Amino acid sequence: MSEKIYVWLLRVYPSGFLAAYGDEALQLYRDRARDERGFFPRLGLWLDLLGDLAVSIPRAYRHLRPEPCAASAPRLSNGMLSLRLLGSQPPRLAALFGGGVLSLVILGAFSILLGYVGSDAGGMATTELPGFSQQHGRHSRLQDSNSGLGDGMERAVHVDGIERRRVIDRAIANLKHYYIDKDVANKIAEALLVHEENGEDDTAKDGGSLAALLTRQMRDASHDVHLDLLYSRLPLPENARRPAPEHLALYREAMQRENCTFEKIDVLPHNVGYLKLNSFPDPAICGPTAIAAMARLNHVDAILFDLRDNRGGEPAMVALIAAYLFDHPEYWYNPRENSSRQSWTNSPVSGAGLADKPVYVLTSARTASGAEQFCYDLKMLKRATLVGETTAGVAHAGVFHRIDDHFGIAIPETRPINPFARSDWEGGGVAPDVKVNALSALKTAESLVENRLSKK
Amino acid sequence: MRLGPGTLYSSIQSLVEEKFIEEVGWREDAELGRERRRYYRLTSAGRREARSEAKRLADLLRVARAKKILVGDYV
Repeated sequence: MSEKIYVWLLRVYPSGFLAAYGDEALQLYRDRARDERGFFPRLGLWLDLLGDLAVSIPRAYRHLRPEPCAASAPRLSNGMLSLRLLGSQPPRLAALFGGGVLSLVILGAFSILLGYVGSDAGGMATTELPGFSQQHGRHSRLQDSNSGLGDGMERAVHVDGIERRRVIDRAIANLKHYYIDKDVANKIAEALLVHEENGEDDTAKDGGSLAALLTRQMRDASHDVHLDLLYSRLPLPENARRPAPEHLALYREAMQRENCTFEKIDVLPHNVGYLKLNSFPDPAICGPTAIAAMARLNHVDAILFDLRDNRGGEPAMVALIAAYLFDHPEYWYNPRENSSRQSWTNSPVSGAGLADKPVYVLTSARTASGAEQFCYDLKMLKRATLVGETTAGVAHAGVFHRIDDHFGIAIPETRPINPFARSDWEGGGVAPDVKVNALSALKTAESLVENRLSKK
Repeated sequence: MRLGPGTLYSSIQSLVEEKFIEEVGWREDAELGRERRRYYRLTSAGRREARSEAKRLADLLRVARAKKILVGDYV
């Protein structure tokens, strides 16, 4: 009995101490209990022991050093999380449970916060640069808002059979009304319905994956890579084609603040012009800035266009800048417009001296849309050397039609003539002539241009 | 000297941590039969420490004698 009491009292000591000396302490107690029999000796023993506990327990805790012992926590239900814990004691099950619940709460709160911040940032992007897509009904803004922070949240949005059918029906109605080739439109419609009836769309449980699946089906049926079904987590504006005047004012203000995204205009050693342009802004607002920039670089011996951070913009600005690089009108392929009189560059630009100068374009995997048009056409016309990475591969050639608050469809309404190749850069991007990491593209281009100029 | 188990083993623990003593292993005690005992021995650092502590006490004793606080043959 008394031994049991002593064992119970021993538990008050730190676990590390008990592990190392518990047995010995008990042994010592047994030795003394064996020797000190009788009422008074036993009473003396217990007084000793209690005094010993009173003195040594605080001492043991004062000298306590964390002695890690490893214990593995049970796996959580989905098998994703496994923990190794270090502590002076293996964790109790209740502590693990509490910790798990707390982690889930924090994780949940964080993802809600992230979604909130994401939607806020998306909103800001549209107010800052509203002209890019809304003005001309292109869908680049929608794609950008699709690929941002909110991706994880989007997939959580559930799409049921009725919603799916509604999106498909509206997509078909738009295709039949707007698509350039009525026969192909009918063929696509038929394919979409067959896939739906076969239950092939049942795997798409959320907006993002449904949009990707339907896009693939439309492209398979039509062989037209410019067809796009898009999903946006943020509600789409009611009338995307006509931007509100206040959006235009904001756009104008943003362009003035950012020097129309002409980030750097410089003349490098060996009289090499350098222009870092981060978009192709609307010439109605930024035309004078563009003309001034080109005038400043008018007397260089070679020119570098740095489009590594350029996500595209207005085809009119692309053509305006390209015009400086030719001494006669050149056919300028634009996947968004039917071939017409405007499909030729407005060359020569009076007083411009760049038509016979070497041109280099720096590219990255972020170079997109209108910037890719600049790269593609100059490459096809053998007018520029592209240095860097293969571009993003988005032509944004379709005209955007709203299906509902979250879905839209981009339908090509034109059939421009591409004299260079059967396909443009949609999907595959524009391959550089000199493939280097985007970060070292400037250095590579500089040495290339230096070599070329020194040979003259 | 009577030491309780807690006092004894927390002292041993401190001495081991300070590396003044080290464990030399377990063995059964011939006298006590099958009950196993743990044996420790003084390390050289422990011996140094014990010597300096004894020296300190001897110095203290010398002072006490010189001041005539302690007389006779106590030690």
